[in-house]
Amino acid sequence: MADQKMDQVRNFCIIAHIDHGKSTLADRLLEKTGVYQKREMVEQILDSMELERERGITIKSKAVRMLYKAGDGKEYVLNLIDTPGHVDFTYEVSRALAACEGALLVVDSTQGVEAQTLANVYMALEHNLEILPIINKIDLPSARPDEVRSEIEEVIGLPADEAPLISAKAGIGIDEVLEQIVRAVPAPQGDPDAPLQALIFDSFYDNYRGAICFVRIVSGTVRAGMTIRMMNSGARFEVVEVGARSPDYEPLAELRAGDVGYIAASIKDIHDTRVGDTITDDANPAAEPLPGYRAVVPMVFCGIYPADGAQYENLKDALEKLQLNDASLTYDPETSQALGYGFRCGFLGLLHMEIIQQRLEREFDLDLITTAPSVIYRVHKTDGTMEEVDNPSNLPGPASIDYMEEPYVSVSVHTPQEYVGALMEVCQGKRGEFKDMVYEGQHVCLHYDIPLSEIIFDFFDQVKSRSRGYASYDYELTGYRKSDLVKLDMLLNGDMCDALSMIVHKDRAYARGRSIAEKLKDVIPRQLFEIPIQAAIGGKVIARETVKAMRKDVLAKCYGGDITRKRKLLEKQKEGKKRMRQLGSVEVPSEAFMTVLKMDE
Amino acid sequence: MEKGSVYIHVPFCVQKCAYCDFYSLAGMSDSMAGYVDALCREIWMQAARFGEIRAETVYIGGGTPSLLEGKDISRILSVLRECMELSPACEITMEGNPGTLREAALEEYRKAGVNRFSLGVQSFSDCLLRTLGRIHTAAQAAEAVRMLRRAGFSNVNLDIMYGLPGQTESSFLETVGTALTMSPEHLSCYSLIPEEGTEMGRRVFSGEVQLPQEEVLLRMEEEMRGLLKQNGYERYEVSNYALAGKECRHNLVYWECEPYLGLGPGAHSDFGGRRFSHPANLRGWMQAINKKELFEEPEDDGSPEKRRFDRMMMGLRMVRGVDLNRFVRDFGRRPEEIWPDTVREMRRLSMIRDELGSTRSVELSNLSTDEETMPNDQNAATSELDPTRSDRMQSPGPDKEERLALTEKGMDVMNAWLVRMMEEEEKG
Repeated sequence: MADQKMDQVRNFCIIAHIDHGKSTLADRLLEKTGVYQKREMVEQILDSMELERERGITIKSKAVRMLYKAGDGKEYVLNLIDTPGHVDFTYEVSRALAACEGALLVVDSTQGVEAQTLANVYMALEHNLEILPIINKIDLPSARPDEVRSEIEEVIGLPADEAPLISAKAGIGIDEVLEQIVRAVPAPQGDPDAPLQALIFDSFYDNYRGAICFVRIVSGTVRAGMTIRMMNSGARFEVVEVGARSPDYEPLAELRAGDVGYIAASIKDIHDTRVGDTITDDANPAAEPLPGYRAVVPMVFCGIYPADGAQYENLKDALEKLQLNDASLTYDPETSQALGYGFRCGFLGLLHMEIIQQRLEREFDLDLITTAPSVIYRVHKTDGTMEEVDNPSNLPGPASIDYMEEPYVSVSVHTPQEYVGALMEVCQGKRGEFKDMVYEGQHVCLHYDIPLSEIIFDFFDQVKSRSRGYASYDYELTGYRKSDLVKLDMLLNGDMCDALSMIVHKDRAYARGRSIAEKLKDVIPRQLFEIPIQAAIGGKVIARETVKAMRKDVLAKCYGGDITRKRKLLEKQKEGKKRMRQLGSVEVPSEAFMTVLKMDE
Repeated sequence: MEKGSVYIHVPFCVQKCAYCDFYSLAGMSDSMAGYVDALCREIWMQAARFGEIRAETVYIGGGTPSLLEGKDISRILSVLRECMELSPACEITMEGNPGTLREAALEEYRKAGVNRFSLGVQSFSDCLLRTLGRIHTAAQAAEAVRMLRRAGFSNVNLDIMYGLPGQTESSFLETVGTALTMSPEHLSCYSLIPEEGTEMGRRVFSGEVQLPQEEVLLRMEEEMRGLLKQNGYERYEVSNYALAGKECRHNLVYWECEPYLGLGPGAHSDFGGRRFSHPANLRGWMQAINKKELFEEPEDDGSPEKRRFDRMMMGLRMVRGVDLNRFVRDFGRRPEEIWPDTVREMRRLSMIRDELGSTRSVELSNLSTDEETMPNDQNAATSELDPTRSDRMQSPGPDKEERLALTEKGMDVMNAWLVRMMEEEEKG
């Protein structure tokens, strides 16, 4: 490997719309190059997490090295870098793309170009990647490869006359794909003798070896025994091993400029291996880190509580374990009057939040109650100090607040022209501030500044539904802006329920209060007494609904002496109530806490 | 000698009604003779097993017992008398479907000893009768009542249903009014409960039909109760009303959790300190009995926790509520000591009747105690659940009946309370 000439290395990724066959193609490439024997193949090797496989999305990126003897008789090293596929992980995707020279663009020949295809293409183009269109699923009866070929040319503007027609599933055309990678993806460049610059595009925690970094060597060479330095964090480590996955970890003598591989350096804390950081040689450091580093910070927070209070310790252990592998997840203990002991958790975005919740529930078998997500608000107090608040319950009293600020993001929405109007409405409805609109062939890119708190509600769903799935977006935190915010409280039977409080823009408070009260009225079952549900700002009630008292709940006939059956019916009723939380005098089902999330104002 | 009531299950019907989830078989009349033989055999077997049994009530239910011939009933009852001691005032009830009554048979039933007849009328609307899958018309039901009277039955119950799909308030009240013109001694008015596994359940759960709204149901009940009260029918259980002294003693056995022995396939027993049942399987039961084997399975572990809960679950169905003296005697503690939160909450929401201690509006000659001996009812009532005055409650006179009862409002939501009790007990 060390002798492998740089011009015999190809670093590439695969981009595709969901379900267009990205993972299947990856499997075929691995199989064809002998990384996996066919019979050993578990389908879709790269998406190894159960959740990923189920949702058909890649959450964490990974890199696999393949050896391929090309038609020209030379043996090439092909590094396939898999990329995560969701807006929450935009930054991780951008680092993975920065590690490549080329991208395979998989398009389903029965579906054609779709929204996500475009968003991915835009990102790949931003990183100056050579894009190779590939037309997949040609074995299906409804395939229309010629149409799709011209669609790629017209809609995306990429020449597609050489696009291989393949079926990843049936293994058709895979050789041609490999040949094209060799032919069309540029070989990496870089000076192996220059000071070391290695871009971390992924990292994960191994119980035995500590945090392991996946890197692209941009310049220089790294080998075991060297002392390396993380240029942005400053942390130093001694390299224990370098190598590449193929698919197991295979140690190599060194990684040189142009190579993709891993570095193990007994790193205890995954936070020292931040994606985007540059690794250099401590003895002979590079003049500057590679561009584009961004500390990934959680932007969305919510309370996570065990449905059964006795599970608190288990939840804590589970979060600890997940954090080992996920530097962007944060958690701190918090207490809620309504929900007891739990954790305030920070996430990159809503999908990240959902993934963590689901992993907690599945992998750790926990039953959770999740509160509405919040962003970090800046509260400037009358005494001149500033507090950051990510939990509405911690908001200081109105008298001590001078003014508040909320985070804004710059959002780019990519869409076919026909949905521009609808999407502008969505953005405006989210308190968005129009920046500009750029025409890109058949497509338009809308730029808006929007409060992050609006994005985390149902922006994703709205963008998708108003564009029939064709539009996509990404966003970047731009900073804080002064905003007229209030704390909206919900009262159940007169008692404030802290877990349902939220910070909202004053203009939205009434509508949201009204809507939450209505939703709660629907999810809270009738109980033995009437329950007023009130939405209040400060001491002022702005909306009210009532759950009427239950008036009939009786098994009418009771003959024949079958008493056991009556008891069983009651027991069933009791079990049905297990997912209820007792808030003061009121029983509230767990899902009530999530309903405040699902807005449709 | 074991004291107890006897229930006999007759699992035959002409046709299965749409709402029925009791064990019954349609089109099996060929098996009836074999059934009667086996039943008589089982009576012998059970009597041998439990020694002498003294029965205060006998209930022949179903299914459709009126499909049996007079001689069958006569034989069953004479075997019962041979094997057990039926008390002189023994209430012997038999159920019947108006579409199956024959005057001659009725007379034979009565001569055999049946002294109470329960007629499944359900409705006096032909349209609703069809909805329910009943085999008779309203006119047949009216004629059946006349037949019963002619045959000499002076203690008759009519079963009436409400809350039926398509039933209006006025249509139900018309049925109640029609029933009243027949002057039955007893009325069972129960609301339709769609059960899984029944045709009606399927229709309701699939949304094919809709049941009347809760408000309509509540109005139906209110009007019905008013009407019945005016005519001298006192409500004594969730869905049962009777003229003074005509309460169904057999059903009171269930609600008071007194022992009963169930015979026939699908019958349930609480006898000899255990709950057990016969599987709902006619063939299996007949084969077992003919081999002189018992055909039964235990129903639960019979723990005191279950027993005391059952006592509440059944007892609170009665207007007069749960006998507290007996409760304390059997379980060592009062309900408010076992389920303090629930009982306190019931009280807070006025779901426990305030005139406790004097709630024996139901006076059964054989069950009630001497009310006049209790002084100052009002005082006793308010102290009932007040722990600060517990000295008075804990030492009720030996002959003083003390009961825990629900108000009308409380009875309407009885299940919710029972579930709360279960939850409270689970939390410890």
